[in-house]
Amino acid sequence: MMRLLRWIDGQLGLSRLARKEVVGKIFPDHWTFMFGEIALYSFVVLVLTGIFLVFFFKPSAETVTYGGSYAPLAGVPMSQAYRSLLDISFDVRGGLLIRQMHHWACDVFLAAIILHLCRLFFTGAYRRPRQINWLVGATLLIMAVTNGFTGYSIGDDLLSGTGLRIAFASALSLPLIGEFLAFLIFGGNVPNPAVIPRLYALHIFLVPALIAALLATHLGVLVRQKHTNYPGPGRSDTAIVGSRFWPAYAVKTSSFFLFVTAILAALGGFVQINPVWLYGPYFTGAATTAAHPDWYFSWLEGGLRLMPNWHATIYGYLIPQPFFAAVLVSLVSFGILYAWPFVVEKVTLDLDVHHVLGRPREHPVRTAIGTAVLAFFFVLTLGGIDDTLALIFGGRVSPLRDILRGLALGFPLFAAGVAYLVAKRLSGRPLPSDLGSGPPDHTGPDEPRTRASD
Amino acid sequence: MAAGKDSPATRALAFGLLLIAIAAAIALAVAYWRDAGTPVLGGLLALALASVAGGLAVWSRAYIPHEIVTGPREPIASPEEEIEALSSDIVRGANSVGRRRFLLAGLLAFTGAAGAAFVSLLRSVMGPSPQWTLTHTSWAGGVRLVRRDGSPIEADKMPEDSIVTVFPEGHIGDMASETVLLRVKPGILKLPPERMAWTVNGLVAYSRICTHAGCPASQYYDTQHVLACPCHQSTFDILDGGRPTGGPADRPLPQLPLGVDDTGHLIALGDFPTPVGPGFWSWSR
Amino acid sequence: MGPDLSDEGAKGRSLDWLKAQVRDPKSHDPNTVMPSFKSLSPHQVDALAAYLDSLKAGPSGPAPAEAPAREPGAGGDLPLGGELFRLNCAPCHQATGRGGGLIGVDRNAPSLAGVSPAAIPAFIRSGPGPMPAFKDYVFSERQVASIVLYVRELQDPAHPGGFGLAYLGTVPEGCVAIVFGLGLAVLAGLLIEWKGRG
Repeated sequence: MMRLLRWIDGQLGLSRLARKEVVGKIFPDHWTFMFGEIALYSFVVLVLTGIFLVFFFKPSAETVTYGGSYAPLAGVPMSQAYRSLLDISFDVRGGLLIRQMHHWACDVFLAAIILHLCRLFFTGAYRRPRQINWLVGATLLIMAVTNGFTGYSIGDDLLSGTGLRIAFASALSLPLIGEFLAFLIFGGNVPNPAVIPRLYALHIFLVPALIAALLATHLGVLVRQKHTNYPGPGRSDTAIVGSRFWPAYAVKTSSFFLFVTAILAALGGFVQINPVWLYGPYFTGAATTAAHPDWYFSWLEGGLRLMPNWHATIYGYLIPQPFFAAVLVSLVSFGILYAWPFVVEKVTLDLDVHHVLGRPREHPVRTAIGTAVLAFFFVLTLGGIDDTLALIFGGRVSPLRDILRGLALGFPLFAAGVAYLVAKRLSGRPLPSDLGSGPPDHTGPDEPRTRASD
Repeated sequence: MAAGKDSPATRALAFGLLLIAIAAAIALAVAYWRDAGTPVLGGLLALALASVAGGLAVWSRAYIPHEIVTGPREPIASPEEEIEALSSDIVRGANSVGRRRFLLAGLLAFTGAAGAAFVSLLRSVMGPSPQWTLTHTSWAGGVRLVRRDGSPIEADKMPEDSIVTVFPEGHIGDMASETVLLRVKPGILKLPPERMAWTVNGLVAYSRICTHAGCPASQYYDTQHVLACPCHQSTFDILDGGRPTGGPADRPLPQLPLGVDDTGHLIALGDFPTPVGPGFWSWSR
Repeated sequence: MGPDLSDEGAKGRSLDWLKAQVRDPKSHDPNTVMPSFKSLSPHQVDALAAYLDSLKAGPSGPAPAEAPAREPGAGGDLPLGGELFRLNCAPCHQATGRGGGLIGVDRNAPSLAGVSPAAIPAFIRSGPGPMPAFKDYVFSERQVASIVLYVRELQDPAHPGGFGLAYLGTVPEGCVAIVFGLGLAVLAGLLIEWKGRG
């Protein structure tokens, strides 16, 4: 051990830093702090399974005839890309497992990111000095969503091909620049042979590179600033309380990584996801009902379904409904997301540095606003699956759509009111004894004393 | 708190879990070589990983000290003098550059020129020009309507209340030209006279591409004579020129002018009068 | 050289034997070189076995009158059926045939999972209720038979990836990812003694 460390230190001279910032680093412990880790480990699984898939996927729109082992598609013309998906699923050993793990990991990745985002929001973890990490995280969310979309769209199956048409129409709907923007992104009208290779380049290279860089920044800032604490004894803006990285935290988080991978392997093995062979290749004229995107896009789809045909004509120029329902809603949502920490600072005039989180009950207005936003996106998510909901519950789509339209406006207000009242009620009560209490076992500087002989 | 919970039971548990993990990993290798199905492979992989994870967790609980420690949070921000010194270094360095304005003007001009060059490069990335592509399909006067298998349509053989997807002959599968041909009872169409001339004995044709977001408007209810789109539930009245009657579509489905050639087969009399598919800024130009 | 099958039906073998022979020839003769056709769907195996059983090349010649009743979908082409289904039927009945919620009519498109295959041609030709009718000029006999074959395939679809989640697509998938994927991960975290005070 000493020889190895001496050699590394001779190269980099970072022993002191490693002691303070890695080996001895203090990590506060709370179950709500693990959501970000779930996201991180899902991303690792995505990369590892993705590397396997790269060896077999063929990102080409060239038409070929299927000759593999899935009989219902024998002799059917399809793109190389779709054919390689079928080969991976039926004729590559372990291929379907890896493909399904990859897709499940994506869905869980986004669920974890959003849960992590909610935790940060409701505890005020975006306040100074963590505004920069909030911005990095918001960008990571956009990158993750983009990679999810490009990932399932390169397969050129009926479901994802339909989604590409809708994405094209959304880009097209922008005033002034829509036609050029849509043709720039998609290389022409959709479908066309340029789309798949383009999305592939984004999916396996450009976006993952950005995610990796942003993740490194995200974690680096976290290490620099130290993680936040919930309020409690010994925890303050000048003192951090937690357990050391080595050995306790390191072993726990390794175990957690393996558990997350095990869960994704179980899902990948036991629960079928995206059975592209049942949807068939995308071809002109083919369509299906219940054409839903992956779950994290359902709110966007809901906007397109629920919003009536509001459109604008200006001196004969047209701004069609998809602009308002999809583009504007997205721009406003992400705009608010990015601006939120700065808006809060302006409104509350709070320029202090915060390393202790604010519990949701202590900030009823923030809690109410967050609940309202979640309620709004929840109703929109339901709107995106309204035909399947009608089918499952044996109702008609039309009245359900009207109900959801009303809920989109009313439910956020209602939910905000309830959240506000609950927070106010709870904040009056004293803290339960087992939450945030318990003095630290061992008080001492987090930089262990150096030996006199060093 | 020192490491706790060491007991024979804990040791046995940790040991047992690691054994299961090893067995599962070996079984996974065997299952792979015997071409086992996805659930078997996935199940064994999950078992192996979960067992190792569980073993580590048990180990962590029993043998690793979980002290809660505290440490200082040093202020992150540097003292004001440092920031001032940084600022003055930057400014002094910039000021020391001779003939600054000339340099800046030159760089700005270069950026402008490079930007223009780059934008020109984007033109290659863009594909064909949008204006023409978005406003023309492969339909033209005299082109026969054919089904996806290439067979043309004889005007008097189409049954009443039937529906068929058609393409221009020679352009089967062309996305923009996808058209739906319907036959209704002749008297019930509510079209103005100049559009009635585009029908043939109750046969009427519309673009099949929904004018909302471009999915095929492929659901048809023959009792209501309504064409609907499965993507976002737009509905179109095919008796009334493809007018949208509900949902997010805001423009009617363009109607294809129909005629009959001298062999009795259906032909188009020209392209659609308005652009097909989803709307865009200069749609009406 | 493969054996002559022109008299296979007269050899007194049961339909079950013929089906097993198609699916897994090694179960009858471990030394056979005939490959197994386990990728065929159960309906295809049934159809093949019925055909083999009808092959009789004896002095009395093949006996069409004794041939088993025409299987629904006989004469159709399965992949063609899939293409026709995705062009004409999936928009209402869904790509996996599980039905669809419809707008503008008073009923939803029913699931095809339980419909009797022999009844399908009648539904296609007559178009009950708001469903359009696809008469002879629109669909040939062969095309209808192909669609029947494909619907039968959808009634027992290939699900090599595990539990099929009712083949309803991304809706149950999202629910499973959030409830089971995320939920189990959180439980695992709690298990690893993540019960710190924060």
